[in-house]
Amino acid sequence: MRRHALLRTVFALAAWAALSTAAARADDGRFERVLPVGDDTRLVVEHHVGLVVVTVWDRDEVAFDVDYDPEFYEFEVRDRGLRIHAEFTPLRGGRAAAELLVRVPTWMPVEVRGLDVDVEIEGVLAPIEVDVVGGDVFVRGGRGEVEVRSVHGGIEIQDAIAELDLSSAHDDVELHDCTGEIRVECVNGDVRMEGLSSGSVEIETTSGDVLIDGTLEPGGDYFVSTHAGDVAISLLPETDLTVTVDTFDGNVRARLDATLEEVERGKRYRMVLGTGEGRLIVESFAGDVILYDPKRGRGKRG
Amino acid sequence: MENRWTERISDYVDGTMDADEVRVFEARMDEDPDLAAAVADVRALVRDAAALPPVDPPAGLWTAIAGDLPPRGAAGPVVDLQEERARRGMVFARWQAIAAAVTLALLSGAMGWILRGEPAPSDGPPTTARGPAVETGVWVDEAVPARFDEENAHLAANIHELEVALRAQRGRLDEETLAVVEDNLAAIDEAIRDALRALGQDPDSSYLRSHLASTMERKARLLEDANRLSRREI
Repeated sequence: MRRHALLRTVFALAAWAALSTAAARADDGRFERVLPVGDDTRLVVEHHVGLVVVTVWDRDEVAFDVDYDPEFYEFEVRDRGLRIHAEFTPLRGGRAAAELLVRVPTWMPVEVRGLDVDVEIEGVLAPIEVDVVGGDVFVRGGRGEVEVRSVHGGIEIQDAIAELDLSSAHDDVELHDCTGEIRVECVNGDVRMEGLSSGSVEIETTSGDVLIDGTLEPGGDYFVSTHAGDVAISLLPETDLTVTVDTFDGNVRARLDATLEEVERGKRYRMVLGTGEGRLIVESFAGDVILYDPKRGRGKRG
Repeated sequence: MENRWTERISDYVDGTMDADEVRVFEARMDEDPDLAAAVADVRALVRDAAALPPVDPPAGLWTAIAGDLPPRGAAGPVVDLQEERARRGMVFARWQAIAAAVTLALLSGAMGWILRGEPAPSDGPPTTARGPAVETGVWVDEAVPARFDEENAHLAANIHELEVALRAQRGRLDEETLAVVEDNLAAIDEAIRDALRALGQDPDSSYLRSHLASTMERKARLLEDANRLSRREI
């Protein structure tokens, strides 16, 4: 019995401590708090209008620095064990902007959801997931899986080594120096990839242009499709790829030493580089396609 | 209008609900004018579709099919068509198949109707399910509709249901998002029309068929996103 009573006391103290630190909440429009976090804890941020900036430091703690108008929002941080959940709750219909700056350990996975929110995440070496309606998203870093969706904001990713799944209906998607499997979907936006190193790329856009400049790995699998946009892809001569280009009303050019064979007049082209082990399929219904050796450049267009 | 109710519209219109379900569904319609309007839309679509003249197979279709068949007497697996359709996710009501053709025939003007709540572009029976391009510019060759119906009917029916759902909830999207969705759907519809025209010129192109299907899939995904946003599931 004494043992049970002791356990009850310990549990009560633990619950009190958890409540006092976990349900951290502020109502004066400023919120500054540092919470210790254990392995495998994930940061989840839910925002409405404004800015979320996530940076890293070398402590196993999460530091919040939040600025908001208490007339329009409540802000609350809850520690749910494996999730630190930071959330703005709107109090009225207005769309006042609020800023949330947060520092996390580099290993901490980050998830941000919002309506009209610009998101910047720098230095996180863990999975990242961002899902916003409007607002631009900038990510430097990312490991494992990086998934970003913005309906009408742009997306820029730098230095990710990850499986990337990116979607922006109305704006551009840019990748710089990224490594890993990549999937991008746009409607009206362009897709630009520079310094790419990947064995698998899948890009689909309706009206946007596509530019790929980087290393396509031997034996890789690549697919690029646009309806009305132009496509430019740099290919090293030693890349082992079988290239197929389909078009309905576009022009196709190759500035490479290899020969682009016209399989079906004006509609389908084929080219084998090296052993032809990998596969690159390019489809452009009405846009122009140019495949070029980066040493020779794209040359004059048209 | 909740998704669980919109998902049952086809069952209600097809008469496949039991009496208890009908009673609950109709009670829900009394409380939810958007749901009632969506049901009326689907009923009108079914009525219009039923008034369509039968589509005759294009000349040469049987020759093409016969060319793909194995030689008479050749052994081959017997395929259960019901199982095969279920495996491919192609179990849908007759009206949905007809609606697919109608939906595509109306595609060019449909988004303005859906998003702005304007009257449907054609209140009478659609007349563009076959024959040369008319105002909507969708069909340009008789060979295309039959092939299209077969390959993309399920997708087109799915798009139609998503459009009906979005129409009912468009007021819950903010102006900027609505404008963006509308722009993007217009761009995709233009691409679909382009692909259909091209298929009219080159009906055997595997690239064009695949391009059409993937463009329609993109439209379905965008509509799903827009519906998700209108339900504030973000």
